[in-house]
Amino acid sequence: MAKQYGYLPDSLTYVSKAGQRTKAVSSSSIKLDVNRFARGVQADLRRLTNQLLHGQLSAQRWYDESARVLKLSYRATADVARGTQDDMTHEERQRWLELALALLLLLNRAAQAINTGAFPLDGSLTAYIGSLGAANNGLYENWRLEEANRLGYREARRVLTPADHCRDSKGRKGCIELAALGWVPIEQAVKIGGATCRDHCRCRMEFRGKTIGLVL
Amino acid sequence: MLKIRIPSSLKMLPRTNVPRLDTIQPMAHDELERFLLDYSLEEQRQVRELWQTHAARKSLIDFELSDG
Repeated sequence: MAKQYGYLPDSLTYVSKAGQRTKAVSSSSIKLDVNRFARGVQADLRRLTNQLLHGQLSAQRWYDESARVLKLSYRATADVARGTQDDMTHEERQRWLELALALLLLLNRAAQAINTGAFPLDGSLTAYIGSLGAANNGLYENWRLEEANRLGYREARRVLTPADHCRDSKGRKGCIELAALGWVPIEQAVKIGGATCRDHCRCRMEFRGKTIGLVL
Repeated sequence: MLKIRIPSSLKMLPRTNVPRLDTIQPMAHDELERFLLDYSLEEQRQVRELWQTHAARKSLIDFELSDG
């Protein structure tokens, strides 16, 4: 299968290399694919959890398999955000660990709650674990946010994708209100997962204002 | 409308369709870190396969199916 898409890390963009011509692939197009991937992983995890709830899978096996699927999916998403499957640099490994570990610890929290009987063994467990699959959307965007910050982009904005979006609620900002802010200093950008919708967020981020020749 | 009085003793019965689960041994924090940082060639292949299963743009990032 030939390589069709190249990635330009300096501008966080993808280009199509079909034939002789090179053309940009829109970030919204890439995001749609990440969304589709996240929905697929979400469905896989829901299926696993339903097997647990129907007594077709032991709880330990459910945990081990969910952890495996989550790790693979998060790695796939990070590689799309990086634009390569090459070995990670030390800095990338630390960034990967921080992002993926936070999500795997949520799986641990669910496992501990199941052990104590605190987590109801019904559709709410299915929905919770499914949301960890949906978190691939956030991991992709948050990776790119950190990369943009590292590269010297000065501003970021949240863009609503074709989906239902949340509003301010219970002390958390909604995606609709955050998108309405427009361009904000990049250090003030709210990470995906930080809004009312939490890990279900399907927003994407855009960046601008890169200082040419910036020495970090 | 027919009204049925349910004895209070019946209301206390547990649900019968809840599975009895074994105890999960979740990975400890440092074990989780190792689990995430370890990345074999086989896992790299599985990552490609998972992406190609669910995403539309199959060859986005040099994802090539190979035996190695």
